[in-house]
Amino acid sequence: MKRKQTQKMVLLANLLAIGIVLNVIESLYIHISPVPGAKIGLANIVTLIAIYLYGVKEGVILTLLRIFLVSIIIGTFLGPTFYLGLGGAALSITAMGVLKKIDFFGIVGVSVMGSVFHAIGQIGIGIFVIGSTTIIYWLPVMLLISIPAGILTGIISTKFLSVWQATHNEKN
Amino acid sequence: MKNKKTIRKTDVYLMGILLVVFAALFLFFQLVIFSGTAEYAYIYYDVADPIVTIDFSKQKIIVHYEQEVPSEYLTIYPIVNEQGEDGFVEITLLGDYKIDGIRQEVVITVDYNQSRIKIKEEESPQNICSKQGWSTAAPLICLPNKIRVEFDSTNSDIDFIQ
Repeated sequence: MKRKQTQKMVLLANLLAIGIVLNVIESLYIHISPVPGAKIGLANIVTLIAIYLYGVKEGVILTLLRIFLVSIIIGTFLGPTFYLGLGGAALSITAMGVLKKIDFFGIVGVSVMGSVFHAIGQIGIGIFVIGSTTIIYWLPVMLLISIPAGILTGIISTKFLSVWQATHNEKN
Repeated sequence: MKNKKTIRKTDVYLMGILLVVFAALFLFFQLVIFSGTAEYAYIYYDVADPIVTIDFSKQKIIVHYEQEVPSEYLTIYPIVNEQGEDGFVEITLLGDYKIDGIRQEVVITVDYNQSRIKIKEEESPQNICSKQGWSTAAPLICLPNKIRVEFDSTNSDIDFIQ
């Protein structure tokens, strides 16, 4: 049992590190042109893996730690973009947690819905942070982008999970 | 275990439905709500009323009031430079982003002829709004600087966005 716990701790620590790197690289270098500041959300791969391998609680902890640490690294901590990311992540992980429990969609479906709700959460918080509803201008484009983005992160997560489960014989 | 396939049937249905709904929403926004050409644009700082109105048809800048800045900043904002770079009008405001405790300026360029605006210079961690380039309808939002430019391009029949 102890070995399993150590393994879990090491994997979660590695996932957090991978998530931070993906997030920082994306924030600084990879932008999807039509929407300013929009990204694919590659770090969501890490959240998905944690949710499916361990549970929603682990996913939440991992995501929160990632957002805090990344914001400190790139210098947006407690700034307006920090709250946008937090709002998006909160709604996204809630949606993914609920949908995983219901077990109606596969990982890719859950990932797409997580991505969609991330966009909605960001716009929702954005309206309060900016104090204007004009940000709604970006909503349809963001929602459209979130479908392929969710599919991509979902497929990568599935690939990781199948390899992990094949090599570790773990039941999910 | 069953249902462990990469993509379930329900996933495909979900994606199909979402795609149709979002595409419809996108077309509705582009063709109905934001279809007009902007006659005015407004520059805001924080949540207050617009500081500057840009009248594209009359090629005029209207400054409504001075930006409230702490007394240690000796300049009066906004600064309107009618003869900016490349003959464009340049408007400078004081942003909220601080470097070494000093708030940084945000320079906005207005092109009357093509009814477009861009954020020319601005300091922030990711420079999202200055990277956005010219805009004729999409809002330019400099979050860390609390400065934004909004266009009056909404169809006047719809009071969706005021």
